[in-house]
Amino acid sequence: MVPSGFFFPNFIGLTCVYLFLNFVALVSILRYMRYHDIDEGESLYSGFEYPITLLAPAYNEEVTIASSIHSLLQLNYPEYEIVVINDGSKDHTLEVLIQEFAMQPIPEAYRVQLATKPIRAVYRSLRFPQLRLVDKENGGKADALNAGINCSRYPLFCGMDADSILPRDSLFRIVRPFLEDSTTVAVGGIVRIVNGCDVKSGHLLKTSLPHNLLVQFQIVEYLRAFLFGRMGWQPLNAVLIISGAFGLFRKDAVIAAGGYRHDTVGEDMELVVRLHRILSERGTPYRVHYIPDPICWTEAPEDLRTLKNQRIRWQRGLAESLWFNRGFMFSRNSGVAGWVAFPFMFLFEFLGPLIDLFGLILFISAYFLNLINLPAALSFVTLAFGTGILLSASALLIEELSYRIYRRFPDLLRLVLVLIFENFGYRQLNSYWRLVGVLRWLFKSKSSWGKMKRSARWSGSIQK
Amino acid sequence: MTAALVLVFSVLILRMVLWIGDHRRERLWNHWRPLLAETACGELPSRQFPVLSQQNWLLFFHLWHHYQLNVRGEARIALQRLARRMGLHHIALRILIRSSNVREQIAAITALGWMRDVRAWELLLQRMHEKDPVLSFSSARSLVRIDPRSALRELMPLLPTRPDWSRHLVACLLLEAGPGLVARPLGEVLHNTPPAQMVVMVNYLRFADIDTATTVLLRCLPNAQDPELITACLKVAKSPQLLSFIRDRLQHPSWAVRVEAANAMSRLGDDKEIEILLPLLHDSQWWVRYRTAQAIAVLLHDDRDALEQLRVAQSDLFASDILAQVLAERTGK
Repeated sequence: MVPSGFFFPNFIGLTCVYLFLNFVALVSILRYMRYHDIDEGESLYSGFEYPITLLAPAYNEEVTIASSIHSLLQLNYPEYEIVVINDGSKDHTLEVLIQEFAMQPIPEAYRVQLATKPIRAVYRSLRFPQLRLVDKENGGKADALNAGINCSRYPLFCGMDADSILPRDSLFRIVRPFLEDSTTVAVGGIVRIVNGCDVKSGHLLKTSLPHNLLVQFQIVEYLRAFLFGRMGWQPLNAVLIISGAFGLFRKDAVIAAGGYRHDTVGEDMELVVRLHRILSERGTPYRVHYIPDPICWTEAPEDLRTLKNQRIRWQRGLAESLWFNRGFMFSRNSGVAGWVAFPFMFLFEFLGPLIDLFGLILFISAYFLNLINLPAALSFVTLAFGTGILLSASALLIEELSYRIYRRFPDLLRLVLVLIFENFGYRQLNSYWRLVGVLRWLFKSKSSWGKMKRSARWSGSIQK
Repeated sequence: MTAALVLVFSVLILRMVLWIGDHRRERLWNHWRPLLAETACGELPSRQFPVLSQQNWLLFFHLWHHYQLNVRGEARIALQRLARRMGLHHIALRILIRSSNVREQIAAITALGWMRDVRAWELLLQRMHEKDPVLSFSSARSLVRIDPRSALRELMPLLPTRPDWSRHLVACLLLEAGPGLVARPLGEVLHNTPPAQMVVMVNYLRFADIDTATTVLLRCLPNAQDPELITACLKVAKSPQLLSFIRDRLQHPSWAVRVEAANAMSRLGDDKEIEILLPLLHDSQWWVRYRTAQAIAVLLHDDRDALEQLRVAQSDLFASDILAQVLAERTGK
């Protein structure tokens, strides 16, 4: 009785919302794909394209920073600048940048629109006029991004990770919502996993599924999270998360909202939720868009320890974002974002791991205490796992109908097996890590980014 | 669980169906690509023209359309001639009349536009007034390709009423048409555009010739109160006849207007305007100071010594700093 009164509503509610998001995402993506291959949008520079600042925060990236910046310099877009922010690196990141790009200090009249740690110097490249470097004292990623915003010259900025791989036309794609809808304040795109793919000189040549099972599980997760988890909310103007790996923002809106917060590990999500909150409070018409194009590729953790740290951090970031903006929930003018998406995030994503684990313990206890019989137990287990498989399969269906990144049939077969077997252990492990994230937030233990173990096995040689 | 397994099975079946479709497309494209490439290069085709049918025309269209987007001049004309020889225009017209499939319709509309098929004129004119923004805009674009002069006369009055048409795509269309054809209909429409829509329409003046743009701006600028409209006007100002209006806007209450006024001054002014720009170096807004410093640098033809003298002469720290930055950016020192 106790599990059914407590656990079932959560399970049914979550499933119903996910199925609804699935349906909305499917319609939305199909509509988007309808005109995709006859689109002429990128064929001409009209002069209406907004110039963009790419912000690349860097901390101890001496090994990869040069190649990352070289690949950014090859993006196809009429006008953009790159601002690298060296966030007090302890290695030779600064020296590498200065030498590689012929950087020279300039007397930049630096504007303090957002408070940051002190700036030591601003450099510009003598070889690449659109490249600048801000050297500052260490303050964390949010602080680095805020410094980059202070320094940026253009009305739109793109927050990204230094190791994100962007297709050459990614800026053209991500800027489209700004060109088509003047109320746009932020745009995110689908982040794909680069592990297992062939990359050369920072450009993706060929996609294939990695052999690492852990990464395969993450690929299925990303399909669920992005293809319907975010695309489902997009037509409802209720996208609450834009990945820090690649997102485009209207600078004046972000500055008016106060920039990135320093006191959270989920600064990317927190900013988006805060934009929703502040703009809806003011009654300002706005939209946060999500585009289904794969515009950013990033490396996923290949070992359990790194994955665990990442998931704990993400859950903690979620908790902080929701807590700092709790006034947004059910507030006037907050629309679907405040009345549906935010409560959904709170109930199912934030409390979800607690409820899952509690429910599981109760369920197992009830079975051993003969409170439920074997057929009932098996029925519920089948239902729970079946629903998990259904949701992952529907994400895979959307993928098949849209981009079909993994073209080889054996890769698809492997994904199908993975989406079945992820329900037997991987999901439960994730729930546990997310629970740890919630508890760490609750008990205010020290948060950090940890250290991502990067293999970059997929990365080819770098040519300049 | 049953539903899940059915869905999983469906995904696999779907992949097989799509694979068959992809395979067929690749086979056809491998056959057609050399033909299209040879045609684009002006060579005699080395193989027979394929027979287009209801089943394969869309596949041919996608490949041909891709080539159309990536070639210019004689190559484009040759490809259009090829498509006509293959009967693509007949099929496209039939699709436009009979098909209810929106995707096919848009492909047909685009094809007819590339091939400048006048027979489709009335049908495209009707489609241009459809609610669907992609269908209507594709029709507009095809009409402009068929007969730009007549199309722009029909299209321009629609522009203020179609906020669902991407401004960027409209801009690409006007750019393609050219200032000689855009100027007159745009000028006429601007004469009758309600104030609420003026900002968007004024932005399109950058695709008109200088005389038309100047005539419109001389009419708009004296009475314009909305800072957004003034900014839009200043952005497209191309003639020194407007200098007096630009000077008047250098002290406008809105900083965005002051920025555009400084930008316009750098485009249209000469070194006599530097005196009037100097006060803006002390502006409270960084962007105004920056653009003013850049404007001064342009008007001084990036003369390093003159800029340095100017910088040293500034008693205001903000003015001095911004000049130092622009000096370093533009002269490398």
